[in-house]
Amino acid sequence: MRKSIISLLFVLFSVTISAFAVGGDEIPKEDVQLMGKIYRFPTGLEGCPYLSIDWQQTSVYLENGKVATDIKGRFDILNNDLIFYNESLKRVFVAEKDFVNSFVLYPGTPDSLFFFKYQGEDVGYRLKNNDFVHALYRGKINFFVKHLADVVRASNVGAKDEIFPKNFYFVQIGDNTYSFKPRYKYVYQIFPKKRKEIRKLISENKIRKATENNLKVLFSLIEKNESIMGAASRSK
Amino acid sequence: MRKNLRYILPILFVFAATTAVKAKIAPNTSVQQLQIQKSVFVSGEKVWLKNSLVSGQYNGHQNILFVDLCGEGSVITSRILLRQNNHWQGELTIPDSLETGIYLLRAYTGNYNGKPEVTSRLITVINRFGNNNTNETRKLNRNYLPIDQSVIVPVNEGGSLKIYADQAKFAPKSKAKFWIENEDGDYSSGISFSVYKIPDVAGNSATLNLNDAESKVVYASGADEKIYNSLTLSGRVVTKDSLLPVENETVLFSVPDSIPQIIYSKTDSKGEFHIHLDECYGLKDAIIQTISKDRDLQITLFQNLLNPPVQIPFYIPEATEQSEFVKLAVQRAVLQKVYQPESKETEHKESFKYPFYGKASNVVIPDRFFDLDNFEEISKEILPLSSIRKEKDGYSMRIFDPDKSGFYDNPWILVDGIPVYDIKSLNVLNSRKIKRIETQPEIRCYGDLYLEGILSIITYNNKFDEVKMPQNSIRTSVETFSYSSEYIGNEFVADQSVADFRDVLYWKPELEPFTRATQAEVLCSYERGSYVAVVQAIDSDGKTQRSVFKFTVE
Repeated sequence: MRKSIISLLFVLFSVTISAFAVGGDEIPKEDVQLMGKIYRFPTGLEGCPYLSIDWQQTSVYLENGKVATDIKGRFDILNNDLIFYNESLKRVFVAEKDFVNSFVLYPGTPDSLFFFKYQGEDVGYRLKNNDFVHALYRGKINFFVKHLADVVRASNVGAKDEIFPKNFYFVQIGDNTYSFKPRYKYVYQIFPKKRKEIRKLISENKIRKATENNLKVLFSLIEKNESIMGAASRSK
Repeated sequence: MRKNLRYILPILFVFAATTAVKAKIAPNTSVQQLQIQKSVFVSGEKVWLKNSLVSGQYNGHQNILFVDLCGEGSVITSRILLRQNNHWQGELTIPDSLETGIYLLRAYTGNYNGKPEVTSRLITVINRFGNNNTNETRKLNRNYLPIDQSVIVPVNEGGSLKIYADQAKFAPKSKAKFWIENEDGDYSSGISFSVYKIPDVAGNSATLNLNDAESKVVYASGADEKIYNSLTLSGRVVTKDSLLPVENETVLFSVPDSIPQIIYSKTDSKGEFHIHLDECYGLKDAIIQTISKDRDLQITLFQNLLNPPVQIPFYIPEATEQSEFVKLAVQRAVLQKVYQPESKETEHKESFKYPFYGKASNVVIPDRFFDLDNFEEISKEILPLSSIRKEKDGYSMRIFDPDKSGFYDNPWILVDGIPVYDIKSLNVLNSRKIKRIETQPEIRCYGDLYLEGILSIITYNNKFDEVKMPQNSIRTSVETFSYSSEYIGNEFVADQSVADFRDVLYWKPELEPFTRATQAEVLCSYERGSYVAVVQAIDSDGKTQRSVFKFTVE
């Protein structure tokens, strides 16, 4: 008896749910167009000029509000560009930055990486307005990293130029952007008058090691604390 | 485990059941409520409308509403509206030339399977110049029935909404204050509020019950029309000689503009294409063409709209036409046409504006150089990266890529954003006609389109009316989304000397959300007589909730 009640409930539940899912979809779907310049593969280089050696599933959020999904993309760390494989043209293109708002590599997975266009003042020669940066934490405080690479010219004849990937971290609060390293000392430099309070937050929340994840936690805690937020220094 | 299941399953069932019950309408059924601001219209006036939709199933995809005003066998005027806050609102202008008669206002949207869900209302229109041929002809037909909509006054319905005022008599140009109460209503499409003039002697129509009237409208039985829930231009491409469908052909949609944009689609095995126009607003002068030019192809467009009715078997009786109410309505409309400012557009969706090929690296303004008489001379003298070459079988163009030190022999050539392929035809363009020439000397892609260099010519008039139409192309006007407007009559005109003969004192499709009660102030016009204030909504059962308050302006 109990068994039959359980199966009856199962049937009723599934019928109720499927009532919302009926109906064939005959409406033609729209393709979202990506605009790009032809990509010329770099030659004479040793090392990988991309963030990852493989093509990655990518979702691209365009400035016109549309989203291109299931794109084969790669992030070019030499030129700070998103490159994509155009399946129908069977060629690789560089996504036109003016058209792209942001993009996600490996969307919908725990490994997904969200990139957005940095909007703000240039910080030295390492960060320029409209550069694609990888968001680590987004809120009132933006904590992000710019992936790039140095190319060291070959010194010997016949040798190849070498690629050395590098990560440069930044923190943006309002209109101010600070060059940053994943150490707490750099957090104190942003909030020089709130060192004690920040230390207290670190010890109370057991985030003693300045890893990327712990820094994300710390920034989320700082954001909630109005007195610390208001004390951000203006020097960069 | 079994014990847990015993608790979890009933909870899941209750959750699923309550979700389903919330709409309270049977699955796969929908109720629409079409509201307009008054009962009798004069040609040249606007019909302000609101349409709400309540369904027994998810209807979030039903974003587009097609609205039209139909005569017998013709669509007189139409609009395409976008859904906002679970309803559609907008206006239709009745042409000045529309003859006196009974017309049909339709609102329809496509359901999940592309089948139309239609609601309609009969509309009485009086021609302000006295042209009543249509109505007179209909009077002679025995199958046509008289209908007097002027005497139909809305009545209270449901018990959730209530409207009242502290007095039933107001002075001209005075402020009338109304209290609106909502007892338990959860109206996803909001509550509308309108105040308008009715005949002094009003009552229920003696001629015909209005609820049945729309069902007597006759449609021709024809092929099933498909109504898409995205703004789509559909058509078919066939070969001109054998009329065989052309598969996998790229069809381009472009509109003359100073910032070239392209929308394209590929044909399927039946030669059919569907171009999405979700970014477009207003009436577009569109050029639709195939990318292939090696053979003659024929493009035909599908209507993707409902056909108009063939018969609207009603006429306005003589007594109504000659009534004081109708005569005054005509006079008022003429005066209002003179004194009332035009309604203003409230929303303008700014679209992302870059040419589809990106920012051009090279721009030449011919006005900065000496006058050149044709495009061949322009290309030779002032365009640094392109050259026109005369060949045995015509002309060709090349674009030089300075980075690659190579040439592109098949560049895209655009005139006012329209791709053209006959280079000889560009020669009608001279320095005085061309505003700007952009050159993009590199390979780019735009979706599936391969752009091997681009030369984009923008003329001063931006209309693409100098160069001849490309091969395998058609030019047509395409109606896209309408900008929404706000009824100007709601605004208070403090100046007592301004002529104010409004018969619609207030029209607001959606009142600001309120919990239990709210107040609304309405400015009476100089027009004396009987009025009604109406609040109306549709609840989750699909039932109309309406409250009416009658008052006079003396």
